[in-house]
Amino acid sequence: MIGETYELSNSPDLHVFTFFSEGEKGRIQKVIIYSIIQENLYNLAFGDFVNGELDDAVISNNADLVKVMNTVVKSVYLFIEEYPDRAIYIEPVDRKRSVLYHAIFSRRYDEITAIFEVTALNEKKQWVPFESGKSYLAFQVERKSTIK
Amino acid sequence: MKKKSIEKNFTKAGIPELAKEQLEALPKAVSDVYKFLQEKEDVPFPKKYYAAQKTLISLEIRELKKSNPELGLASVVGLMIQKLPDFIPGNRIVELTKFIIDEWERLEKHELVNA
Repeated sequence: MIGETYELSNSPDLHVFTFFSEGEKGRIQKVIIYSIIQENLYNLAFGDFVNGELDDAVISNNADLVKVMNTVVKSVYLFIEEYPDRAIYIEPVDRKRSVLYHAIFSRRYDEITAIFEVTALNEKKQWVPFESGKSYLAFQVERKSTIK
Repeated sequence: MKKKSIEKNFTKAGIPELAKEQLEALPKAVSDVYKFLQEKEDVPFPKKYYAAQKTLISLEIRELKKSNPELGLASVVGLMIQKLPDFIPGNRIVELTKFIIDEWERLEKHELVNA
């Protein structure tokens, strides 16, 4: 259902995931971190781990974007499966990432919403159910109380 | 004050603290990242994290202003700050406190303009 993914390694608590993107630019270590931001709300941080440092400013252009994003989605599934009472908060840092996150939620709408409740923060700063084709400031993903 | 048990063992990076033996049992790629995070004095990607904190705080302040418009500034600051995770460092608490005050005062001014 998620599509092709990279092999994920994770910490036992599933707050830190890592995998290696393999593409035109070589082998790049990626990290996904779920840091607590409020009670039962976790910020999804995603970036490269280069020379022992984190970098979320670069867009690697390793020609494997779909596979990388599938892998991030897989970590969301795993995290929420382990902690069903927690929600994940995603706020794009720039326009490129905003376009990317909107595209992921729009293209994978049916499969994502079959399991998750996706709410989005609109321009009026109101949390509303995510609708494809609309523009949002941030997203929250949580497990549906009743899964289809 | 009610403490959130979930945050007792969180590192300054906002992730659970792992014992040395747990770290050593991890695949190297994960343990390298985890060790790096456990040594950090702040959350990973702090610019993003605190931008998200501010977004969430501003939403809560709006709700608070609607439900308790007469609340004093000290109470507003107290209510908002106690919701933050315990690992947030002092300089960030100062930054967020200023943000809370600015947001509350902005809403009060907005109220006066619209009165």
